[in-house]
Amino acid sequence: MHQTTIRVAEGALDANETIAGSNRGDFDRAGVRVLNLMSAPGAGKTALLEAALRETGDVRAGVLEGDVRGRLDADRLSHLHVPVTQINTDPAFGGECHLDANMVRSALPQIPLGEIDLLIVENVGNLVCPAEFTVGEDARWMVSSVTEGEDKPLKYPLMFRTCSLVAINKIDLLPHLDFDLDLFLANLAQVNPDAETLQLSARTGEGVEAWRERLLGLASAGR
Amino acid sequence: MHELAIAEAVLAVAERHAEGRRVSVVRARIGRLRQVVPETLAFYFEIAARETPCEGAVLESERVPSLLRCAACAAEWDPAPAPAGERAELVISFRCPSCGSSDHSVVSGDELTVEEIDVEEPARAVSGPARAEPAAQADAGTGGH
Repeated sequence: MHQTTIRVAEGALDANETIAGSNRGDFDRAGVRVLNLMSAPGAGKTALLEAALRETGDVRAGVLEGDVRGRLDADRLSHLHVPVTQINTDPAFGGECHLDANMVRSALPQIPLGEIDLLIVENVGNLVCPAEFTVGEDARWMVSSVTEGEDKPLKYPLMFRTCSLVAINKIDLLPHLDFDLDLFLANLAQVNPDAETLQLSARTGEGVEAWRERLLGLASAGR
Repeated sequence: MHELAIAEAVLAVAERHAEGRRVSVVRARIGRLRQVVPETLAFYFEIAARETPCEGAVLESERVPSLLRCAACAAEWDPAPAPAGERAELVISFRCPSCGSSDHSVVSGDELTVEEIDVEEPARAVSGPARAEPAAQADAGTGGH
């Protein structure tokens, strides 16, 4: 036996990127725009989708729900007139903490791509892992709620850096919290100076109209 | 949990290039802009590699410093200097410290690559200086650290 060193020089996530590219090809051919929506657990992704998708006008939206277990989120969205597909990540090694391109690929046959213009992928609640894995999306957005603290952009810079829009949720709670909104925005600007922000409350409905317009506007963005 | 998925991706790359041979060392480069902790990655790699040709292989990670270049004034800066103290992470900034522009390119720090692997070639009848390499290095223990 003797040892040989083999030159590899390959990105560890190249395989994921390749599959993400295939997904994107399929989405493009079907004329579907895709949003990867991410946040910490409990930031209000599902609540904001419920609020936005009540009225979708002439945009045909669909949702792909990623969760470690169960279909609680899919059930919450089931009263809306949009197709919802659920993926559970738990068959793989006790539950992956994010969606990757291959999980989305395996769900494609269940997504009615011909019947929608916009697919919103609600990722598993997590500020770390989803940032590393693309799934074939056109846009990456996140929801950050004011109960999470001002320091999150500095603690999870990759997530905040890879998103073009940050929806700041639960602003109805501001009077009851020590949360410093200006400091949060300054921290966000340090990590991602170009990030667009929306301030809203899924509970009171404040800012939800702007959120809905921005979200549904993705269906025709760049076409 | 995060590093487990990355460790599995590293493992898949190493296995493919090993083409069935046993792997003793995997060398990776990890940029500082990645949220990957090398020690955690090595730990999960050891677990993920069990019952594969990489079982017992050591994952060695080289940390690549982060460096950005301003598109407006060409200044270069490190947005995330190595932690010097408890609050060191708070100096992170992706805005040019010289001119304030947010338009920049990443010179280094985004790396997440498998650079090379050491594999054990089956014994062959070769002449020449033998014993140049330590024998059966991969059997020396059950894992790295």
